[in-house]
Amino acid sequence: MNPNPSTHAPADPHEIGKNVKTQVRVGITLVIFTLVAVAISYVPFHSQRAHILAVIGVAALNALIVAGISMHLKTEKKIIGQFLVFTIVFVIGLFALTALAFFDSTGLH
Amino acid sequence: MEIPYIVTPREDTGLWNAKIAIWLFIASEVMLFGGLFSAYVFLRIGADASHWPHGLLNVPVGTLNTAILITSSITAVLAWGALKMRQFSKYKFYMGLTILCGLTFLTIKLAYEYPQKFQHFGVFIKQESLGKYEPYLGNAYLAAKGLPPRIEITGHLHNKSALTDPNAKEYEVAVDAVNADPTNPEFDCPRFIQKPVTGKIVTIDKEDVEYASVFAPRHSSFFAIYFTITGLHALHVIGGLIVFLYFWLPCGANLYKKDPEHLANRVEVSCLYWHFVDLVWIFVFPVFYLL
Amino acid sequence: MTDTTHAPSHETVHHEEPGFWHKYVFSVDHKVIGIQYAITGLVFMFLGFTLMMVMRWQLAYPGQSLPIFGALFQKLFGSAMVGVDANGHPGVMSPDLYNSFGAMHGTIMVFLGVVPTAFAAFGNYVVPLQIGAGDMAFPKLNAASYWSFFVGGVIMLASFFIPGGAAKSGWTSYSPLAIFADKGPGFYPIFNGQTVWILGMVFLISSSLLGSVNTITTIIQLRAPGMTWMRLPFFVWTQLITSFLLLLAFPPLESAAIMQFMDRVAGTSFFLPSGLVVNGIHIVNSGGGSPLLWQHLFWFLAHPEVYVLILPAIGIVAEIIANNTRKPLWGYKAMVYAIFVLGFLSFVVWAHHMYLTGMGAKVSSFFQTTTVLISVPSVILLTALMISLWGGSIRFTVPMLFAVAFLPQFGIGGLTGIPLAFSAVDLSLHDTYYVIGHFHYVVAPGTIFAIFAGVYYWFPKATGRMMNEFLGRVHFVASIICINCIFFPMFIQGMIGMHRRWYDGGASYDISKTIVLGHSGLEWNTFMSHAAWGLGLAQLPFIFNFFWSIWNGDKASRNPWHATTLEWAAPSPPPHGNFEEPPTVYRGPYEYSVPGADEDFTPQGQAEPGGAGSARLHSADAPEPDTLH
Repeated sequence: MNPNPSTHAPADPHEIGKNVKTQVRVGITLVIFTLVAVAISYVPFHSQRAHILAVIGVAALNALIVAGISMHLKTEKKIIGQFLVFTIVFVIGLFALTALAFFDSTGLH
Repeated sequence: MEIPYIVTPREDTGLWNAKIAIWLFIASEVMLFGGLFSAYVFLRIGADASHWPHGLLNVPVGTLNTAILITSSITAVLAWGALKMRQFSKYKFYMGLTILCGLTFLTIKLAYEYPQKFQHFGVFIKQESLGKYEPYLGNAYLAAKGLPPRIEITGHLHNKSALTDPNAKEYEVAVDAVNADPTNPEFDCPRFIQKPVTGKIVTIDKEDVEYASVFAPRHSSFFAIYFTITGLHALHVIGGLIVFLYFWLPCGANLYKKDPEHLANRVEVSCLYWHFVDLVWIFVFPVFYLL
Repeated sequence: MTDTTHAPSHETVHHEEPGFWHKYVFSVDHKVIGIQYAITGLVFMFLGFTLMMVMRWQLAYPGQSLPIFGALFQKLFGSAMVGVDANGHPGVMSPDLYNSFGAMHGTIMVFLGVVPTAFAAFGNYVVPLQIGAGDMAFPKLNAASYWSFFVGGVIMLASFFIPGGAAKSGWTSYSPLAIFADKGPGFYPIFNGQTVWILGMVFLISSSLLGSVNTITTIIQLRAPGMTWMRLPFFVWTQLITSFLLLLAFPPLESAAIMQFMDRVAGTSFFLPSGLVVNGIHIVNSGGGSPLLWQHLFWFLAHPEVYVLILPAIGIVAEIIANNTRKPLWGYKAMVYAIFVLGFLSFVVWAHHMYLTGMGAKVSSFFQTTTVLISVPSVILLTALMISLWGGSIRFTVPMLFAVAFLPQFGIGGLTGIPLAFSAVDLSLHDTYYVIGHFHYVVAPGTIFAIFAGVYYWFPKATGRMMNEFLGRVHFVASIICINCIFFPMFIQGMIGMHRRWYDGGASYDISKTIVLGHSGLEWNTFMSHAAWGLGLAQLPFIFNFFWSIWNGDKASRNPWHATTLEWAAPSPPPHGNFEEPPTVYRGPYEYSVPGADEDFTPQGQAEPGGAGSARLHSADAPEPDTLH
């Protein structure tokens, strides 16, 4: 069998149609959440930490939506998810260990 | 000899080659922007509150740009969907729209936001001279409220020659609203819509100046990391647009005639990249514009 | 992992014969690209070594002009960089030139020499053959990655001839020195050695990223039917892990390089603290940056980078040991798990390069713990290789000589790293010659010997001819003696306190006069320098052998080493597409001395065990593989 046949059947229109509708809804959701983030950022918070967490929290939610739904990560094969887990672990490691080094220092910055 | 699994997925992994490759590439890009964001975190932690500006970026424009980029992500997926359903003219329409959105994003960023910044000017006042410029800084009022002191006077520089002329002894700055009326409570926090520069000219002696610069990367750590991350992001947007353009123009689009599924796969992979570029912006916007 | 599909049988696509440029220069065939990487990489290694040979003159005879080449040396680098000695003869290195040679020696050896040869050259050439594929997954991307590397290399070399000379702030390019170096009168604002170094690095990093994406995709997707994960030759496993290290560790360095570029060119202060005074002048900038941030981002890459340097070497040595002991590798599974653990841990040990930066006890302890932990998988790998020798019918072919020599030398390199892992001990050893001895033992008598082994081993496959054995043995004996004479005394020098990167080799410090084993530290310098020049001479038989054998070596059969892995089932050299028929894999990679078999090796791709000594594939006759696991 030819590994790369040039006559693939078109995808099922119903499936793609549903997918497309989902994507449009996702887009509208993302814009709404962005506006929510903008609004939240002008609310006077008691602590700066809470302010940062709230705004970044909405951003993270947006990111998860883009990654999971627009990029189809939710339905993607396991191996892709496995690469990304390691990537996230290493990014967190970079942040956390560098932060630890900055905060746990003998006074020289 | 043909490389297998370019279009048909391999049975045990369920993936075709470019799918794996693009996700690997995205993983490396996560590390790249991760490195830059970690720089942001450490620069901000290391800076005291007076040296880290807030509210200097145009939030309405940034919000609009965010919406434009999100829209382009959606039109990109619509383009891919049209390809999968073999609706070539619909594909051309949505892909064209995606490219247009991307170009609009770039135009707003590079032809409006960046030049606006470069025209703005800031002067950091020396610690010992802060008292002299109290009418423009309002630090007594801020101290009473428990807010960090203002150490910078910003606005538009009128005597531009002062930047390079060693004989010029002072800066003449048409100040921002906050420096014209520093004790007004509406300036305690950043505002959604910035007030325009006032006509009030303030003369600042160079002797009282710690550091002066336009709002360019060298102005402060904030602008340094802002321009670096958004600049790198813009380069990635340009790269993505070049790829989309290639698949929109006949040079790439003609693959549709030979093997439409192959083109669909290549467009899918490009869309994945584009979504990632959008994802980075989803973090850049709140971190720089809102925090 | 479950079994794969049957091999896709392809229609014979009729290709037009490509022209000269497309076939030999801008080729997309993995074999041509592999050879391009090999030759370019070996040339850069020799160049980088030449820089060191010149530096060693300065260390052995400080203030004396270079013999024979002194005048040429001055002509090449200018009289600002190369001065005259007490008698007026030209050819004395200035401290600036010494520093730039040192910085470029490191950069060239690591990024232009060892990684392109051990990872890219061998990886590109051998991996597709060993997994039974016709090429890499993305041939055009492969070519792009080579040419990006080439451009990066040209940029790095060209930087020597820019006004002001090449980068001179160490291969580590620490800020603030790297921000203020090569600035002022006599230097162009952007077109100066230090800034150009950053540009070169961007090309090299991009090349690595493209190469690693290609390698990982190829290994995952293009394995032949029957080639399950645990049947992969160990070399392929090491290439897979190395690719992941390159993929995930390089980008933070790229981001740091961008920021350093901004600091140099755009006046930012990413890595410059407030209140900096340079050459008596208070620097006017926004300040607020952190020099330590550069170090963290740099070492985040540079530590996994050293595992990039060693893993392909371990893979090559494993292949050669299995082949020349005529028995399977001992502990294959343990070795595979060990490299996974090694790869993972390598990301969380980086600050052991920064013990002296004022880190507190908690963070030092963390990095100390992970660093000591990482020695465990390394020991597992070395031990398994050593045990693999036990009970073998060892054939001391030239590749085997280098492979066996690798083991104790890598052992010395690894063991000398252990004191450095402990922050308390590192206090006295940091930045001394001990460190130089440690890492050179792992890379030079280690990886470079493995590279030599690999060249001798796979040369017959790539060219269809054998390299000359006698010249190979001369190369081996001369190299092993000289290389140990260079690097072993460095441990002594380090322990008496001699620092690295001293232009005068320590002549102005009393500690260098400490006597150890009858000689002062400075006398050891002279001894080591002579050994270095000896090592340079020892490479001449190799260089001659390499090129002479391409045309005049004994003709090699398809499988001159009687090896079991798939690359030996293809013709020597393999044609475009590699295999006459797509291979199928029936067994593990090291089925040597299988009881009951006719021959002492059973190739992976051979359907029936024992019998066909020339390991031809007979896919048409082969039974359907139905019990593959």
